Amino acid sequence: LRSQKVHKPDQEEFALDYVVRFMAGGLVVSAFAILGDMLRPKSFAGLFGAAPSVALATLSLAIVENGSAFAAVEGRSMVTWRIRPFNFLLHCLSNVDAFSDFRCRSDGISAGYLDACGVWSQTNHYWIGRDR
Amino acid sequence: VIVSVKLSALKEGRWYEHGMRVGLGGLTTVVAGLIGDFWGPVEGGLFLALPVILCASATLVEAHERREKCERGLVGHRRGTDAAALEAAGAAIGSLGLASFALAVWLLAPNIGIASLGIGAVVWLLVAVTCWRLRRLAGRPYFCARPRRSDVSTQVN
Repeated sequence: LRSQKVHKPDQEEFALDYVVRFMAGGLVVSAFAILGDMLRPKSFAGLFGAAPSVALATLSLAIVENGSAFAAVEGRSMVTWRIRPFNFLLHCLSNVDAFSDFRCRSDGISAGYLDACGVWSQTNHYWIGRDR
Repeated sequence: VIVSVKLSALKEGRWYEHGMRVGLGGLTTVVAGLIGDFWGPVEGGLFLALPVILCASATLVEAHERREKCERGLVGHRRGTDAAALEAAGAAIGSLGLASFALAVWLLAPNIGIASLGIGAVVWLLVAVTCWRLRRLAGRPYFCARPRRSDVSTQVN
């Protein structure tokens, strides 16, 4: 997997590529977020919080630039990340507890979120390390 | 439970909130791309599953709900945190759909290329909605708001 050939653009192409990435990612994330805002009930709208927004933007560019095999490896890596440790589920469970338990306004949200991110990154780090 | 679309929710958003979402989404995509370019697709793929929409939405949902209650002269904090919690619970269910999306891309991309993303998106929607519906049918949801004595006293006062 590590010997996978990656397209190496020159400097100008590189900068343009990342501007396109920024725009594509921003628009897709924003579109899903707006859709989530409009939908009721809230638990259903939450489904769009886990929409493959960044994945859609990045994988479509990856297929165009580096080919389908590259995107397939990225997809496999996503599956590993998602399914094996149920990482995001843990992340959200932490969030739910945090949201319900904190009593101070947005500070509670931020603290709960940071806590959940800590769980997420630690578990992620553990499983990546285990793979090697 | 009937799923509905509330178009008036579009007016509740402020311009900087949309800007923040575009910025956060764009930045995450750029970071995921940089990691993929420099360290390869294995590490790059890990960051494609980042819950960026939930990150961008949770605090905004809490603020919207609180603001709405405040405009009616109520405290609204409890409602805000409960709405954010419900959104997170929905996202937890949606993450199963995201795993299905990744699985579809992994299996189909080598054969059908970019069309695998479209099929993956359909699979994501089907799995996420099915799981959400099953959870509703299963009865009392796990993520159930617990009434608090302080809330009751706040509402009464």
